[in-house]
Amino acid sequence: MSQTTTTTGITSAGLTVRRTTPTKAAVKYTISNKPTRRTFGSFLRIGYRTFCALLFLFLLLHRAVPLSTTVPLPLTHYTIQVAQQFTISTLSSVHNSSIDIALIFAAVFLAVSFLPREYTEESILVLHDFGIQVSSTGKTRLSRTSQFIPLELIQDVVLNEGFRGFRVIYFLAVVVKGRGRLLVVFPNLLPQREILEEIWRDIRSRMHQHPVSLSVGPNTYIEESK
Amino acid sequence: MDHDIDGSQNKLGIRGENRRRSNFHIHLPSTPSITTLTRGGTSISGARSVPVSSANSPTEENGKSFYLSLRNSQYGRQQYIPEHTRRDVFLEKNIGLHSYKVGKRRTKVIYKYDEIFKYRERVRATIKQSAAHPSVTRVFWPTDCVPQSLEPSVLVGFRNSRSDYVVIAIFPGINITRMADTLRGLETLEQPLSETAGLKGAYDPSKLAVIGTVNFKSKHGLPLVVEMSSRVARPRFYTQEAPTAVHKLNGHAKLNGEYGMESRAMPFQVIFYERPLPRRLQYFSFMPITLELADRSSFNADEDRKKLRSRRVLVDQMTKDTIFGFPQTDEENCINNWINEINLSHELGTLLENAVSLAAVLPSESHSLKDRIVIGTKLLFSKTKNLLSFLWSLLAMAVMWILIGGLMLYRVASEAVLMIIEWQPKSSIPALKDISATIQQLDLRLQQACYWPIQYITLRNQKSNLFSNTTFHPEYIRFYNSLWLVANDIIIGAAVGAYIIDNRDYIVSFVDYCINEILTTGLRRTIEWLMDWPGGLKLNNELAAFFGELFLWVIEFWGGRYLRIFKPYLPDIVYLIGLSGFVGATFPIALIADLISFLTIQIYCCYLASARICNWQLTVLLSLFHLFRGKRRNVLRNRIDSCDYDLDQLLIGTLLFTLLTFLLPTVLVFYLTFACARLGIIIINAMLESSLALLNHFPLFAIMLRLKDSKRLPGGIEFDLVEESAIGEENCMDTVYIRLKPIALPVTAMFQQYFLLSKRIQRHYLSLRVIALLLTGQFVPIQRSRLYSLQYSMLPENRYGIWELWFRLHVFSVTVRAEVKEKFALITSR
Repeated sequence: MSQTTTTTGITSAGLTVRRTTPTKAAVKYTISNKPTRRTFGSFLRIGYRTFCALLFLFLLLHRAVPLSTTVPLPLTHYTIQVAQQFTISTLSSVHNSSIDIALIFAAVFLAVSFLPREYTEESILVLHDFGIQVSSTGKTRLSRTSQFIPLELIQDVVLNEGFRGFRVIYFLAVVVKGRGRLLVVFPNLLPQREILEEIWRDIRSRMHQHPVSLSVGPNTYIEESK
Repeated sequence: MDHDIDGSQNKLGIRGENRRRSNFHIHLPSTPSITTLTRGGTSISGARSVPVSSANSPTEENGKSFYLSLRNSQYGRQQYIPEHTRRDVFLEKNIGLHSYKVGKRRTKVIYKYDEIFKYRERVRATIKQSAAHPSVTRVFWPTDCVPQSLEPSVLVGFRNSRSDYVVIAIFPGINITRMADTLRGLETLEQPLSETAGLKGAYDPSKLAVIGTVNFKSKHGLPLVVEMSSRVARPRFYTQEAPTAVHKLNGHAKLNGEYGMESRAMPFQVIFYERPLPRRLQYFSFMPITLELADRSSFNADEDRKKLRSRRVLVDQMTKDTIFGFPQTDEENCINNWINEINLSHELGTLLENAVSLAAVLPSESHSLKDRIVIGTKLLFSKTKNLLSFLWSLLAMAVMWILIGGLMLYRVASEAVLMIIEWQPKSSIPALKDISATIQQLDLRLQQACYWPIQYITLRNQKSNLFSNTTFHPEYIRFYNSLWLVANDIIIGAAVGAYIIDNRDYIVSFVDYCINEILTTGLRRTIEWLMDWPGGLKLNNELAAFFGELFLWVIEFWGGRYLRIFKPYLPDIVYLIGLSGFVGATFPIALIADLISFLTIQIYCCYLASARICNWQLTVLLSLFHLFRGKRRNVLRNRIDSCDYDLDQLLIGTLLFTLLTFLLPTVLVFYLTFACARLGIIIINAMLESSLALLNHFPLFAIMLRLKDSKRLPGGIEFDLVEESAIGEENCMDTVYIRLKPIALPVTAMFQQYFLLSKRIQRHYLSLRVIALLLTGQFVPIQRSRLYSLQYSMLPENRYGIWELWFRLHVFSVTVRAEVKEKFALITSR
């Protein structure tokens, strides 16, 4: 009744590979470089965020109730005063302008501190007999790209080698018909060949409906005779 | 031609030596006779007996043959080039899936043809089976129309194939036969359902059918049997005891044993989707919506062509290397259909719902079911609103005639203006619109106004069949975006113009100050400073005095004589600029840009003169330097040769070289001064022109739509695997749940044009090449037309002519008149 997400045996250099329990109809591989335990950097980040949030709250309060005013005891009076403060300060732009600017800056800092994404997560979703979807997270929390290629447009899924800097790397790519380009799977993480090979074999076997085309997979060679 | 190659009877070995670029074509006709081996043009034929029984080889029927082509690519791998993409050849492609690491070793590659044939037969057999029995059933399930109660309901939708269903609506509490009758009845109306407004030709009515049931207790022959335990629960798909299609497949799967023990039935892919509302112009799309016109969007092609070419080479190589071409089946061809069907689903669903409810309400005594449906739909479509709409369209027609007359007059006038603007006496002389920013702006506005009526007519025509075309939405966005931008422009322009007119005196005094202090006095002071050993730098006195007096004369000539004539009219000119603001904020900006270029003509002249002198001196210095070294430049071979100079030549050359070297700083100083001034003016103008680009082209409407309703700006689709899925219990099928979501167009795609423009500006003005040109005193061109290509990106390449417009307007008026007549007939018939 339930579908579990399993971590496959392949983990390497900070990368975790997950895949949904493979059913015939669909399988999804997700690779992420999410750190498994908290590092010093993550603590720093949390600290920075709390600092920004506290600063923002402090400024907001300070703007609503200037520290000089004495807060009267009955709550109704207090709320009236707050309301008055708000209207006055919004009406007269000169009033509290330095606090306003600081408030805006604090808000921006708060937003920016939450914006960047800490880790990259990229995935490939193979819908049997339907198509392949390649998605990856962007630099910010908001951005995320994913692209679906229907089966009729897929020429092939290949494991290719390429240069990156002075290294030779292997990458998994979808050759799209008529588009004149390759769609690289896991374009940012670029996991090592062993991982890719396993994924590639699995994908190739799950993409298409014809069972024999599955069995005559990349493993099956015709014997060579001397 | 019948003889053996290898001597063996059942095996044919093909021996190829791995040389570069050697080709082998192995021709395998399915009739068991000949195998042809081609190598470098010569073909060797060999006979062999292949035990293929003619009964189970389908290709023999069409008498086609197979080609196996092996090639040693330059990568030293055994490659296979697929020559057929026919369905039953792909086994051979699979066989090509060898990856021999050959390297520099010579390897003999011998294929056993028994194996190949065995595989081929296996593949053929399974293709035959699996084409008839697809391995997965795909159901699109609308999440927004699940009925409130859990009473038995009927699923209506498209039945694209035996394994591909798009559910478009769920009708609770209705009989299967009645629903089917309703569907049939709607198709037999005078105006069948598939041809009502907006749906004409959008779908295949034969595919629309009752395709299943929800929570039905009784058995029936429909393919989908669904149970839902609650409204929010996921639908679960069941097999049936009755001999249905599903059951057969189930049996087949068991028989075949291909899927093993784990799954007993064909799994289901259930894809949830939310029906897009066409009345709100929402729709799904594979490709992101393009906001530019198609022929304009590739305007950057020339610059990135190199990159593209190298990429295409890679992909070409990949496609050659590709061995595993998937066969095309009918099922895959209909993949593009389902998006269309999903886009239709809401409209069709509501139509059907209305028809069903009306059929239920009507009294049932005298009419048969079909008649009741007919009457119900008639009632639905014709009410008293006919009369109102008739009156309205009469009024609209009267207004239309006035408008058409006005439009044609306007079009003729604007054509005359455009012809003047674009007139080029010679190809070398630039047209008026290439010189002045104002006239460029005028040209843009006129062209936009010429295009609007045509845009409007196309929009109106397309609206009648909204679902059968995909160009409507981008066209709509473009049209309203440009309208809105013009309206915005006028609003901002009114404010700017009023501001300018109000502060006219201040502005006039400021411009006057600029002319006096910066353009004449300031320049004169700078030149005088340069003439008198600037910053302690000891320049050549005589040359500096010569240059200084020359430039002073030019400045005096322009500033003293002509600008003095111009000055008294300055208040009027500023007033004019202010007034032009009421046509749009772009006009004051363009006028200011033009004014700046006009007032700084003398700087431009001085820049040109000093640049020419500086460049000339640098060239002479370079060639004299070669002479100094005893070399000279060979122009024919474009290289530096050694050369024997005479003594007097050498002497004079060296003397001149020294002379010019000492004079160089003086020339350079004057040149750099004017180059800097020129650069400053270019930067100011570039800023003004980019603000023009912003005002003319900002994707305001698109951004508004993105914020308001992002489904109107589709940027593609996305599938999400829903985490829980049903693993088969008793009769329940294995099901994977997937959610289909539209992706909103990313903001970067909206501003694509701006990115391109900024890249281009950077390439033209901020690159190293430009700095090198500036330093050597060469002319830095401003390619105005290139900068402006952004602004024209919303317009077609060639504007529509007067006759074209007249013709379209005429056709338009005829259709409107026909509509009015129709409405009149409707009223009188009653």
